[in-house]
Amino acid sequence: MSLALLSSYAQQAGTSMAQAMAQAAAKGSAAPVRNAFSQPGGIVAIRAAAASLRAFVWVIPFILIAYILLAYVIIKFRDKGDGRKPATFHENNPLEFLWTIIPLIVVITVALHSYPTLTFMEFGGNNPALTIDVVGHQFFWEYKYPQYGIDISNDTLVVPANAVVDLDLTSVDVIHGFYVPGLGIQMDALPGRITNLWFKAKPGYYKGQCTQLCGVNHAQMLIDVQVVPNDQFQAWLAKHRTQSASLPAAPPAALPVAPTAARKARGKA
Amino acid sequence: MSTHVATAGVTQPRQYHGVLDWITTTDHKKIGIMYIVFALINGWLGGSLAGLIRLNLYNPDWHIVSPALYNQLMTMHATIMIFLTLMTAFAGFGNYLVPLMIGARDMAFPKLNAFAFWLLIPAAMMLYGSFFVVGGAAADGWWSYPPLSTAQFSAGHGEDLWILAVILLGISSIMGAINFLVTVIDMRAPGMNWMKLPLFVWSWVVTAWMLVLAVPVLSGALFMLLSDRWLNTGFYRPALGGDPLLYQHLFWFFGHPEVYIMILPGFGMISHIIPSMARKKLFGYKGMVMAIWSIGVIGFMVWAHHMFTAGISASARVFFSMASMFISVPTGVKIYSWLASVWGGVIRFTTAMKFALGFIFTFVLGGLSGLMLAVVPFDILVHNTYFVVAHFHYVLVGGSVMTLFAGTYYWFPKITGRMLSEKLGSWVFWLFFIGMNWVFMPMHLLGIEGMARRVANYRIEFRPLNQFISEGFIFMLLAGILFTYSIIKALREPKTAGDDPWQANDIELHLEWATSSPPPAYNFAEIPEVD
Repeated sequence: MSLALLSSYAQQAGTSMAQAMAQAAAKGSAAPVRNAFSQPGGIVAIRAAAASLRAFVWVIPFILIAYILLAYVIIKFRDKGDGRKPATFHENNPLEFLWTIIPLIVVITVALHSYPTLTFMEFGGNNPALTIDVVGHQFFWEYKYPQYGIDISNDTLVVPANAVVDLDLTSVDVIHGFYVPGLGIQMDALPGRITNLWFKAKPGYYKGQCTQLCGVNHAQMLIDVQVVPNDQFQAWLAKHRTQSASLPAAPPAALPVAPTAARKARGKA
Repeated sequence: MSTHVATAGVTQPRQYHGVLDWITTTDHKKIGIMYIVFALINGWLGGSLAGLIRLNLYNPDWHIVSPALYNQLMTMHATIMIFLTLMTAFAGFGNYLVPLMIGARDMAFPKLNAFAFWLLIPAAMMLYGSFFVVGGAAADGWWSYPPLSTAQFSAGHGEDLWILAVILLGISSIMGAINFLVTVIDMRAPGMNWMKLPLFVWSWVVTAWMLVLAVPVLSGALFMLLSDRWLNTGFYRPALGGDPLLYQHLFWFFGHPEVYIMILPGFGMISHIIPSMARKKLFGYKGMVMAIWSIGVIGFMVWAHHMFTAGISASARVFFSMASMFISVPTGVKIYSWLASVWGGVIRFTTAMKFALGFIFTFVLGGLSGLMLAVVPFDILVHNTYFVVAHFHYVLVGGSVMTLFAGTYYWFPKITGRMLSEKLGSWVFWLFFIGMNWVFMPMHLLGIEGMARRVANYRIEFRPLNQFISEGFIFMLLAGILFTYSIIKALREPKTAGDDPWQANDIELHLEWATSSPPPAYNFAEIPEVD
């Protein structure tokens, strides 16, 4: 979702930024689900996809070797009815040693190769510009911006572009999984624990969903992330800060029916 | 010593006939057959649930089943396929073949053996019956993670029945495993020393050890879950000082070895079929034995790769990533050894051999997608998506089920004295092989595109691939129908198979092919000597 398009919504309709966001979200639902390979949405996704492809490059030869050998023995050694006698060898220590030791070296290489990316994904998000508390509920997500006193539920997560965003995840009921493939992030939200992930994203619209079976409406527990340039984000903050201030301090404890209904309405809009 | 123990086992029980004979039997062969028939029936029931799942996912707007029922179908599909189909099928072949292969007259504890089988019936009744209790069957996935599976979020008795059934199945497995171990340790024919043991027996030895070590951990975890549900003990509830992650560690400490429990006996089968059909001795026997043991041992050190996104520490991720990769080395050794066994042979493309070679094709893919999943950054991108669904179906369908087909075609003549139609067999193989790849290959893509698993419906973007996948299911269904028909048809034919229809003993002595088909009661009039 481009900045121009986003502001044009606001201008044309003369509506609030929140409504513009809702429209953008509706528009976004027609966009493909981005994933880290085809449309990586930032450095975390890029690094994760690159690490995956590096590993894949090591794995491909093993698939090919096995399949070429399989095809070869099937074609070469079938019973052609020519009375050929089968070979009698059944041991070859150097060969067996080689096909143990070479794969061993390769898998150690693959593992070691993935560790820098693993470290980056785990510890690379220093000095976050924004920390958001993500709380899983059956069956919606609640996003708290403690720095700004904002608390939204069952809505699009809006974050600034090109800034380190830190998510602290927890849950009030069962385990949920926070997964946005385009951003290269996935982490469970567990009750009684705080798990953590970070990302730094390019502007755009990212779709995800809950990946840990959490009950009847698990499939409806979608995630939408809107990454906007900083000035737009500041405008969004200003709008939501005033709205949140007028709300009662505690958010509603549970929204039993509304989230699914709202989700469906938005999906159809 | 072996002879003594074997003869001691021969006490003439009272003779019954017909159904009563099957109910009262302690004969390892009849128990083995009952296990296999039980597995086939459950394979059909579990497969039907998969059909409903695929029908529901054909179009996200159809809502064939409610999301609540979908979760039950998905949970029960996994439970039935794992505990009632694959484990019992391998237990059946193990029961039938292990005593024959080591030259024993029966299992070490025939009555315990029968008891282990008959425990399956109440367990199955509880599982299927749970569909009809208030709230329906268990709907929390076969992992049954708390807090979702606690009384607060799954109040229905379906979950309780599920827990009790799985505990019962575990008790059955432990009894079976101890029986296998004692049988192989104590009842081998004279001269059948450890390094002459057929590989199917070896694979069952390691499998039995894994069952004995892993299943009690599951039972403990499930008892704790049960007491959380009924007594509010709070082992897994943070508010009461517990932790849901504790359950995940305990469950996967069982759950990962379980994967190898379901594939090692299949590996053993392939190691018999390939040499027989290529008319060549198995390549690298010692390496194969070492590979099975390595898989058995390393299999216990990789469990937390199921929890890479559960918030475990970076050092745990590093360790379990590396350990998970190591396990692909002995698996690779097995693949290469099988290929080397074929090398230079003269292959007969019987149905058993087609399934064995087809298994190599699918299992290589399943194994290497597993290696990819051990790469943590990649796992984060596809964890709990359809990529994982594709991976474990390649291992369990492309691995375990393919080996079971191969094993059935190979040992059916021994068990029944009759041959399965090779003509129909060819159809069964190609329909199943094409259907299996058709269904599970595109799931890799679906996962990479970001479709979560265990969802009753999905974003509209995923529809084309889902429809394609559901269409492939028809091929697997046809294969299942033809296979079952082929068995029924064969059972109506005369017993013409002969002792050794595959001429397996021309290559190497296998005791099971040295006796009649089907073997007589108590297998061997005289305990054979192996030199």
